[in-house]
Amino acid sequence: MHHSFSDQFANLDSSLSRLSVKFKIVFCSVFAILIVLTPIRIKFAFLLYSILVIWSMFISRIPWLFFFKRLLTILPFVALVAVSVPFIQDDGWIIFFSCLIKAILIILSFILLVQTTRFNRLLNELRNLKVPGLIIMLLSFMYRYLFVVEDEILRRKRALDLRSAGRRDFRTIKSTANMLGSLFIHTYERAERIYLAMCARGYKSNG
Amino acid sequence: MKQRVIRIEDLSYAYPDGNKVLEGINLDVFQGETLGVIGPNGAGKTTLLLHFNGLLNGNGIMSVMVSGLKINKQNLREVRKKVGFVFQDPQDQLFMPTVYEDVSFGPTNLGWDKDKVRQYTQQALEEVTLSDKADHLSHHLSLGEKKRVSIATVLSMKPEILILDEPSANLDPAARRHLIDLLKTLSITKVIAGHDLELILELCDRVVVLDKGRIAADGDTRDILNNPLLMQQHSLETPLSLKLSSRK
Repeated sequence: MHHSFSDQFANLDSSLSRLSVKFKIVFCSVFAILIVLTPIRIKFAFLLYSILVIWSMFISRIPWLFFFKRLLTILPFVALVAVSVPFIQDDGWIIFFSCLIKAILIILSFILLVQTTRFNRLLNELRNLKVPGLIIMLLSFMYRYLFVVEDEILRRKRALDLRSAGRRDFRTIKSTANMLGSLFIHTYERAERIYLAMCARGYKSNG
Repeated sequence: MKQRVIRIEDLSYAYPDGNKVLEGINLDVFQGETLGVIGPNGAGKTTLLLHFNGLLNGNGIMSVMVSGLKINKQNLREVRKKVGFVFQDPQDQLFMPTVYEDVSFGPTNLGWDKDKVRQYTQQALEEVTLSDKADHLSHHLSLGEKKRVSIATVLSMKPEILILDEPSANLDPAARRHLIDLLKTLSITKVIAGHDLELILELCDRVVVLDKGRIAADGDTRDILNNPLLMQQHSLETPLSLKLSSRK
């Protein structure tokens, strides 16, 4: 089956993908903190940040539309959190837009990080940077099984569509809910089997 | 007489809800042999296999012995090194991002040093003829390749016994043939469970028939598979190749 991989552009050759992974991780983290700490009134700094991000996007050779789509999926969450501020404070709109701009810059830089690095190299480097093993394991499982779950959803949705014969009303909502429930149980059972498979190969949870 | 590597004595297992899956199983596995475990759906094949390396514990008495070791908490690690388990679904067996990381997962857990881990990982990948895929992501592989990587993940731990649950499930004929030929080249003791009776006939010296949690028959593969009455009683069927050859 075809997947949209979360690091689908990681194999593109660009000057960004050739940079050391460690440098990219450290730079992105420092950059994010810097953006958060810079007050919005220093417009010059934000102009500089934007130029840096846009220039990186340009040399990464990743299609512009892709960045746009990814932003659109994440931004609503940011907006949802920040949207109440204008109604509470007098200069609320400034805070709202500063949140939004900061979020866009940080999200873009992390999209660049993930899209110019193969995920397993990213994990290896995080391990070298002494990120706790449990978190790395969680990330690695997420990367490995996202597609499996996506496949399962796709298959179920297809079966549901087939038998609901094009109807879209209350009853299909109900069966979608059932579908999600059974998906949850299936995922839970798979997790059990994976744990068994890990144990079978000498895994000990505390070491 | 051949050396006994697994001994199962009076093993019973019931699910927490009281549903009995295995009842009074007595089974010996001998060194170097390939044992088939066949039986209808829900007969308890997988449950039985999960006992071979202590992934499940029979209720009450510990009644499984591997290479003279009684399975208990102290030697669980030792037993799991000796007995390699290949799950039916490669999606469950391959949980690391890349092939190499998956194959080296077991050796790393055994606490071997880096050079030894690398050497055994490469060796295992060579054995399944997939050395060139070491850096690939598991979900990019074909099912046949995933299955062979699954076997490599276990071979890298240098097991004495290999347990395979439904090895040929969902494989296309070419991938299935490749798998059978691969299994033939491995000289270690193997236990294979499944419904692919042609595969069992080709690979196994001995077969046990499991039905409703009990061993219904135990003997030479050809003798058992060639017994139409026995086969029918346990929702099985004599393989076509045997039927055709006996007709001549």
